[in-house]
Amino acid sequence: MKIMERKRALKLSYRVLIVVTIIIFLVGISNLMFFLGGLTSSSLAPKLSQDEITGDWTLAFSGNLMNRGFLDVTLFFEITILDINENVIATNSTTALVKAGSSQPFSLVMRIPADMVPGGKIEEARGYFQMKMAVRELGNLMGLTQLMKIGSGGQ
Amino acid sequence: MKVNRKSVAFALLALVFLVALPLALEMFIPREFLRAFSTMGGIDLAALMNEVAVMGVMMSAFIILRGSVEKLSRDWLVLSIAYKVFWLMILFFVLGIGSFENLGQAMLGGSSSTATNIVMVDFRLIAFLAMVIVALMVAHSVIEYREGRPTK
Repeated sequence: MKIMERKRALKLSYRVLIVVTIIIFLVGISNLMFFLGGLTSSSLAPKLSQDEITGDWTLAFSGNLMNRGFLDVTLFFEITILDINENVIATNSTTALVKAGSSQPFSLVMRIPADMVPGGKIEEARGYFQMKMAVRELGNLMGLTQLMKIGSGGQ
Repeated sequence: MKVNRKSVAFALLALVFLVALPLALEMFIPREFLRAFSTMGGIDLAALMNEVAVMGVMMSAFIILRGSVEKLSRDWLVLSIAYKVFWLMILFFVLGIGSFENLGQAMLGGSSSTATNIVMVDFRLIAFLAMVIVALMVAHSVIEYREGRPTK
């Protein structure tokens, strides 16, 4: 009798878990799609400017993050500028929690010292631009991370 | 050894969809596309299809073997556990887009001399839940076997 009950309980628990797992998978993946679909070019628009007195460069990412999904999403955003030998020149990161169905202002500012830009022209400086973006949901249990690194500059 | 007709039919279906179809697709898809997809997507499509075919053969073998053993025998228990673990491996394979070893973490993209673009999709929660489900299923099979075993 006891074995019979244990067997039935086990069968019921794994069946319930299968349904729960499928629901978590579908909810998680569709929420990610909704959030990423809501990210437009204006959500993370970059702006480059130079301080006329010090000559330092400022790279700023600002915008409004919109979460069209039905679960809260945490966005981690990190920008790193590396020189040609892959030494870090400047780096900064930020984290934003975007509630379901709402929007959140977002800003990330990074200063590049003038002496790190040979000739003062950032367009001609050789190095790498690295961006890491992580979108997490369901209490950080599911998510997506993108790492992008682009080499740039002249001679 | 008596082989169940239903098992043979299912095994044939598995062979058609998981072995013949991926191998035929691999032959029809142009080599340039496979190469470009591998470089840009970070997935070796040809190798992926071969792996699916290997899994198809294994699945067909499992189906035939399961259909030929007597229910609640020792062989049935061993095959039942192995089949459940095999399904778990298939799930890891699907979630990892061809990589079992990532345990539910898929990695896409690639890098060249000047640029890198990698996307990682984390489904480790699903992989963990699947492991719990398989453990419960194995426990259920063991209880079923012990219950059905003739008492001495």
